[in-house]
Parts: sequence; structure tokens; C-alpha cells
Amino acid sequence: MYDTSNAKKLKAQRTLLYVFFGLLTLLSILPFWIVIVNATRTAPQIQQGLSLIPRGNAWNNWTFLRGRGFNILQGYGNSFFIAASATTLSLYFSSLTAYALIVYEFKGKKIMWGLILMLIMIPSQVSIIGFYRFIANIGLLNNYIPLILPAVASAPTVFFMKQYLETIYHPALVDSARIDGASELKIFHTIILPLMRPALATMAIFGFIGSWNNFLLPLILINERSMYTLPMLVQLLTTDGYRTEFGAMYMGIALSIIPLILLYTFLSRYIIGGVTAGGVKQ
Amino acid sequence: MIKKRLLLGLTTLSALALVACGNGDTGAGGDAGDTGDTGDNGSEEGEVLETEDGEEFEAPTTGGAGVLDVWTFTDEAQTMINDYYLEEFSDLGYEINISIVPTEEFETQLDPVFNTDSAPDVIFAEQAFVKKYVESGMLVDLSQYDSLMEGAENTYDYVVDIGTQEDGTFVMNSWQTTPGAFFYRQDLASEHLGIESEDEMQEAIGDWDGFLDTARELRDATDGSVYMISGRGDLAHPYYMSREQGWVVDNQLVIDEQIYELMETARTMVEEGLMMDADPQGEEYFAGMNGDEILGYSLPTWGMHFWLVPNGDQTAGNWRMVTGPEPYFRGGTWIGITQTSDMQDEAAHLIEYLTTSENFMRAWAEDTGDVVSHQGVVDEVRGDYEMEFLGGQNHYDAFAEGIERIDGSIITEYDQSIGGAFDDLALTPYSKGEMELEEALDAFRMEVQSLYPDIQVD
Amino acid sequence: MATTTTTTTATGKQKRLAKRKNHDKWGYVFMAPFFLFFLAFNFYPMFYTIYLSFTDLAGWATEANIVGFRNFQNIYNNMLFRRAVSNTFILWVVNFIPQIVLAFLLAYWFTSRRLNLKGIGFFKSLFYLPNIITAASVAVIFSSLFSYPRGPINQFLLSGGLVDSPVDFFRSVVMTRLIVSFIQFWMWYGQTTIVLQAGILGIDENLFDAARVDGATDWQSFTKITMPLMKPITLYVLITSLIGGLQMFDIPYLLTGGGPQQSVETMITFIYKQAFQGGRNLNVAATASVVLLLMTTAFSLLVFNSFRTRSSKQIKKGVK
Repeated sequence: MYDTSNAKKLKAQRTLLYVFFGLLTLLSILPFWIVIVNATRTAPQIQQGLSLIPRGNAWNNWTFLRGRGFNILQGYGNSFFIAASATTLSLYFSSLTAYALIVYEFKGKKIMWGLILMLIMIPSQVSIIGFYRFIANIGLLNNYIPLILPAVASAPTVFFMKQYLETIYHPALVDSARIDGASELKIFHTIILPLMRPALATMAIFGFIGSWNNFLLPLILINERSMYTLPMLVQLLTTDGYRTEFGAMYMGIALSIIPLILLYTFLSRYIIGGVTAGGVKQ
Repeated sequence: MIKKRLLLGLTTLSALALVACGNGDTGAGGDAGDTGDTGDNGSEEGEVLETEDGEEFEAPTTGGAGVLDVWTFTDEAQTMINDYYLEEFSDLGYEINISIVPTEEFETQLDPVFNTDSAPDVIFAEQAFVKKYVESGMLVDLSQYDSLMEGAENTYDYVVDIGTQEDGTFVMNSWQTTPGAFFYRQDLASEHLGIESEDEMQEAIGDWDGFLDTARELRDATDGSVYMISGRGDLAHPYYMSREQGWVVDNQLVIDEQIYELMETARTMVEEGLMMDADPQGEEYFAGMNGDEILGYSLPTWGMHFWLVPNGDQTAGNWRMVTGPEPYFRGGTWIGITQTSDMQDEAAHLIEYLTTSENFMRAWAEDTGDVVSHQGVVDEVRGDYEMEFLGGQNHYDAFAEGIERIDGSIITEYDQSIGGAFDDLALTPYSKGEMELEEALDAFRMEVQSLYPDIQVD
Repeated sequence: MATTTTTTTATGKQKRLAKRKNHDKWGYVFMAPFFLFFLAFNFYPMFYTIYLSFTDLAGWATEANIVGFRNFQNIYNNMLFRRAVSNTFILWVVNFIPQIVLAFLLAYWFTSRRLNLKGIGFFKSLFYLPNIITAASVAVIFSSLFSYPRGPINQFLLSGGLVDSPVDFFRSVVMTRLIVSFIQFWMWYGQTTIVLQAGILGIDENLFDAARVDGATDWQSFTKITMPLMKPITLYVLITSLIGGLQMFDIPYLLTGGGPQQSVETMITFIYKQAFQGGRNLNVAATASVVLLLMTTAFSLLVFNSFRTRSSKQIKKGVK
């Protein structure tokens, strides 16, 4: 097809691109790698110079962190509890909402859909002051409830679920079950939800990561140390107590990112698929 | 209006549901809904009453009846309470729950719940923000506790002054005084400056001109390899305390003559290579305590214990302390009771012990070397100290001398935020030569105006 | 969007209409949780915020008094807020332009049949990686990487002889802004690449084949066919990125707290500081929020339209 000079040119082009991609890959990995390596070094070693080879001081750094009350296990637990609860609620109720929007005809449906589209675009940060006062007024500061329950009304998830359900839904699915006398809720639970498994999985990942990474809201609502989420704990690493304890500081950061990196190595295919399908913004 | 009602109804409903599934505690849900309704309109008294009703009914969110909630930012509080107070009063009949909130977050965490029923019973506040709580009008008047007041007669005046509202209500007291001093390396001083004693040093640096001259002499003698001080942090506190007026007077921002002096001195010292220009409490700042690059630091009582001694293990014994160019104080921790507390008497008992008990003060001074706020105890123990870290110098005596000269009146409720803005936006960039004077001060004024729209800034 | 709904559900509609009437009330039941929680946690807080922007609620006050438009006048004259608005846009522009350029190039290379590159999935997943990492952690990572005087970047620059003395990055307005924008760029270009690539793959292959027959080069068909057809999706990317950019908080706040010289003070850091620091001016914070809300709404109306064009395109594709 191509003559040899063209083929050569193509090869050179490809090589150049691979080199470029390689550089971008380094850019993605290197910051995390430096953090992880430094988490295993002593403060003087870190001061001496840059290194990409782990050393043996991880345990000491960990012990120092623990001594400072940096209870990362508790942070994992708190963040996991919040993210898992919020994700579960958001998945269930978003599917239910999407189902209602597709299967039933009712007054105000179009308005609801317009509202949901609008909500996707308007981030919750703009009403954070009202949200904060509202939560303070009903006495739910220092409580996980305001971090979890709003997930019931998650517009982006509804949008994604509806898009998905549209592609797989067929009235015959529901009709036969209705003839058998199944209740509407039962139809949703036994027929629709299982069908939506791929979409649920995708949104579960995004919902979980989104909630796990949330910083502003817990920062405003939570002040009990024992209730701190992971990003709030990470924030403590910038304070005075760690300024000279570099190894421990890096250990703290490393511990906050390792679970996500692990999760990503297993699930990256689904995550990329989700981004491709939905243009999802966290 | 109807819409608002409807919304409130809906939100109350969901609040109910939330609390029901969250705490298994429906009582709080009903209570919560009520608070939501009246939160904006109800008077303070009204709210307190409601709160108390609620509390009789069930336990409030923080700790609860039978638990004295204490919020602090220093782990000293834990030691004082657990190892001293609870040792002496082992059968209080209630628990003390101590929460240590880091200083940087303390206000952000406390303010939202202050004056609500989730507020702690007892709060600790440090000098930078103590006035904010003192002047809030939401702390309990301590003058109703006779024995506490009797004990407070022995407290140094400036400590009581700071804990007293503008209208004269005494609401917070402290166990410590925090005079500052200039700590310097005697070995470096005698090697490079020929200064052999504390007296000679004090004579050399007794005012700012002498301080600068000595710094230049040191630079010339060492080819710039030894700096007089670590950075602007060592200048700021002595200068702050020598101001005539605090940051805000009559709702007007005051940029005192001493503030201009401070900015000029800092800039001169950077330009002429007289100070290291390390960030206060940064990496180089602490590293300097063990090295040979910095002659001295301005530190208060607690700064010596918490910063200098632990970071100066290799230079121990070579340090000495003198008053320096300007007597000053820095920091200090006051304790008060919130008006929303349902255990005010118990709280007062704790404060009385921590801030006035002679026995505790003596034990604390002896065990930690902290300079306490009880005049009698200070006078009694000040003669007996010899600090090896300071080559046997009696630091307690030297500090005690400084207390008399402290003036607490320039402490304002704005010190934390305005002082912080000044350091970030004016002092630091100006001293480093990044901005000119007016430009730097304008940025500072703009920030103050933004933080406090009601303050006149020019 | 509305068009899509009717197209898919139209099939067999009449046939089941009668039966269905009974079930349709379930639509309300199933929507109810979403709607109630929307009211409580979105709608009410939003209107409460708007309400507070007309009050004097600040400091220790517990009562809010209506003060009319005073807060809006004040915020218009608030130099720091103006600076925060312009900072927010500067930070966004400096991150977005390189981001969209690189993303387009990558999407072009990834989809080029001539280049036929291998391992695209692998590279894509690596480029996307920074996006899933907690922004708070990312901020702390970069603040230590660029720390002065002996952070890893300074060590690298010094050992490579690129600078004589360490650089105090976070004392420099330009450097700090560049770092914030870079982080934003770094976290999002992977995502943008994926979205654009999906858009390119969605274009009718026949168009490219026809162009090839006419002797167009790869680059020509990219600029003449792909780029024009990608306009709606690019607009979508642009506006979602802009709306996201307006919410910037974690990175600047944790990196330098807004400094030096208020150079990375953003709208949300301004709102946060107003509400929770200093004089705790909830009213000012609420007013700034309303301004932000208005901006966001304006931009999202734009995206709303781009959505519409985008989905009608998809339908056309479906018809083919």
C-alpha cells in the first residue's frame, strides 16, 4: 500500500508518538511513585536527594503517624461507610427514578426530566451555605447523615441510568410479569434491576470514588476527629506537626492514595468504559 | 410564606426520617425539627430553654448530661486533667470527655457549634483568638463563683485582663503566663562577637538599633555564614507587643507605627543578609536550632519547652536567654465555660482547680517548668531553677521578671485573622522585596475589609 | 432530550394505553423519593442560600434580618471577590487551552487508522489515572513535591544544574498559578481525551472513506470532517469544564490556602473563608454563592442547548 519511504516515515512517527505517550505515562505515575518511595525513607534520606528506589523505613514512618493520632484505619472505615452507603442509596433510587421516567406516563414527567438535566449542571457547591445552615438548624452537624442521604437525589446517576435503560428496555419485559400479577415494585426488583447490572456497576464505581474523594462537605459538617474522612485526615498532613517529619508525611499521603490506585488497577477498564459511555463528570 | 411552611414541613419530615434511621433516636428528630423552625427567629433565651427541655428528655449529641465536654487544642490539657485534676477528685460522679482539635482548625470547628447545644461545656482558647470568645458574650460570667474569684486574686493582672470582656465581665482564666525572651547561642556569641555573658548581650541588643548593629557585626565577622535570627517570626512578636494600639480600635483598623518599623526592620534584615529568612516553624527554622547558622530565636516560655529544647539536642547547654530589644509575650491558653453548658458548676470547679489552685500550680510548675499565672507560686519557686539546657541559667527567674512588663490590652478579637493576613499579605512579601510598602499594605487592607466588612480600613 | 424519550417509548403505545393507565400512578410513587430528597437537600438549601444573601447574618448572630440588596452592592465593591473571580477564570483558561489541544491531538492519534497505534487502552487508562485520586491528596502531593527548599522538584532542578539556588515556588504568583493550573490540566486531560475519542469514533465511517477516495490526507479529514462535527461535543466539554473550574477549591485551598498575594484565591475558597473564618460572614458567602449560581446557570443553559444538538445528532446516526 505504502512505498518504503512512507513506511519508514510512518514507523518514525509511531516511535515518536510512543515516546511521547511514554513521557505522559511517566507524568501520570511519577508523582505517586515519588510519594510511595519517600514513604519508605527517613527524613534525612529524603532531604539528601531524589530517589526512585524504596528503602526500609516504612514501619518507622507508620509508627510516627500512629503516634500523632493519624488514625488512617479509622479514616478508611469512615470514608468507606459513607461512600458505600451513599452509593447504594444513589444506585437504587436513581434506577427507580430512571425506571419511572421511562416506563410510566404521568403529568409533570417532562418537567422532572428537565429539572434533572438542569441539576446535572448545577453543582451542589453553590448552595453549600444554605445547606450548612439547614444542617446546623436541624442539629445534624457532626453526623454522617447529611453526607449520605442527599445521594438519593443524584441527577447525574439518574441521567446515566435512564440513558442505559432506554437501550435495553422493552415493554414486553414488563407486560408478561404484569399478567402474572407481579407488583410494580417487584417487577422493578426482579426484572429491571438485574438487567441494569452493567450500568449499576459503572455508576457504583463513579459514585463511590466521588463520595470517597469529597472534601469540602465533610470539612464543613464534621468536626469530631474520630469521624474524619480520609481527605480530611490528609489535610492534617499539611499542618505544623509534620513539617519536619517528611517520611511520615509521605506515608500518610501514600496510604491515602494506595487504595484508589489498587482499585483502579482492577477496575480501570470499567472506569474508562464509563467515561466513554457517559462523558461522566464526577 | 405558604411555600416556606411547606418546605419546612417537608424538611422536618425528612429530618425525622433521617434521625430515625441514623441514631435510632426519634426524640432528637422532633427536637431537631423544632430548632430548625425557630433557629433564625427565636431569641437566645428561647433556644436555651428548648435545649434544656430536650436534654431532660434525652441525651444531647455531644457527650450528654453526666459528661463534661472539654475542647482544647493542646495535649497539656489532657495531662492536667487526667494526671492532676482526676487524681485529686477521683469520684466526680461524671466523666470528662476531652477533645483535642488542632489549633489550625480549632475555630473553624468550634464556631459553628458555639452557642448551640452541641457546644462543649468548657473551651480552651489561645491568645491569637481568645478575645474572640471572650467578647462573644456567650461565655459564663465567672464572678458568680466565689471561691474561683477568690483564687483569681492571685492571678497576674494581664491574664485576667485578657479574660475579661470590654464591659468588665470576667469569663476566662489561665494557668500560665507566657513572657517571651531572646534565646541565643553563647558559644557563637563569644566566638564571633566577643560577648561573654547575658548582661553583655542584653546591653548590645537592648534596643532595635543595637540589635541591627550586632546583627551586622555578626554578619561581617562570619562572612554571612551566621545569621542573627531565623526570620521574620523572631521580629514579629516583640514588635507586635510594643504597639500602642491593637489591630482594631473603635471599629477602625489601626496600623501602628511599630508595624511600619517591623516591616522596615524585616526588609533591612533580608536585604542585608542579617537573617536567614526561614518560614516561622518551618523546616529550616527548626533545623537551625541544632546547627551553627542561627545565633538566636525569639521564643516564649512554651516555645522553649516545645520547640527549642526538643530540636536543640546537639546544641543543648550553649543557649542563654535575655530580654532582647523589647519585652513581649506570646501565646497562652485561657479556659472558659459556654453559656449553653448544662454543667456550668462542674465546669467552674475544673477551671477553679486548673487556674487558681495553689497546689496544682506548684506541682505543675515543678513538674513542667511552665511559668504559672499564680503570683505567689511564681515568687515562691522562681529562685530554685537551674536549666542545664541554658547552661545552668535560671530561666524561671528571668521569665518571671518579664511578666510584670506585659500589657494585655492590645490583644483584640481580630488578632488571629488580621495578624495572619498581615503576615501573609504585607510583612512577608514586603520583607522579601516582592512588593512595595503601599502595595503590600493595600492588599492587607483589602483582605481585612473582606474578612470584616464592618471595619473601617482607611 | 425530550425527542429521544418519545421516539423510544412510542412503539406500541396505543395498544397498551388503556392497561397502562392503572400503572402510571406508580410513576409518582417511584419518583417520590428522588423528588422529596431533591426538595430537602438541593432545592431548599439553594433557596435558603438565596434568602441569606439578602440578610445580615454574620458572626455570632443567630437572627437574620433582611437588608435588601446591600450585600450585592458590597460584593460588587469587594476587591478580593473580584480578584477571586478573575483568578478562577485565569486558572481555568490556563488549564483548559493546553488540555483541549492535547486531548484533541491524543484523540486524533488514538483514532487514526493510518497510524494504527497499539496499546491505546493501556495509555488511556494511565492518562486517566490522576483523575480518580483524591484531590486533597493530589494537592498535598504537589505541595510537597514543589516544597522549598529541598522538595523533590527543587532537588531535581539543583542536581541537574538547572537552577543555582532552590526556587520558592509558592512565593511566586506566576509559579503558584501555573502549578494549580497544571494540576487541573493533569487531572483532567485524560478524561477529555476519552470523551473526544468517543465522539470521533461516533462519526460515520463512510464520511472518512469518501474523503479518502477523494485523496484527502489523514490530517485533512481530521480538520475538515472531524473538527466541524466535533463542535457540539467540544462545546459540551468546554462548558462542563468551565462549570467544574468555577468550583475549584480543594487544590488551591490545600496547596497554599489562596496565596501568595491572593493569587489562587478562587470563588469557592472565598466563599469558604467568608463563611467559616474571620468575621464568619455567612451573608457575604451566600451572596458570592448566588453570583456563582447565576454564572453557573448561564453556562449550563449553554450546555443544555449543546446537549440538544448532540442528541439529535445521535438520533440521526441511529436512523442510518
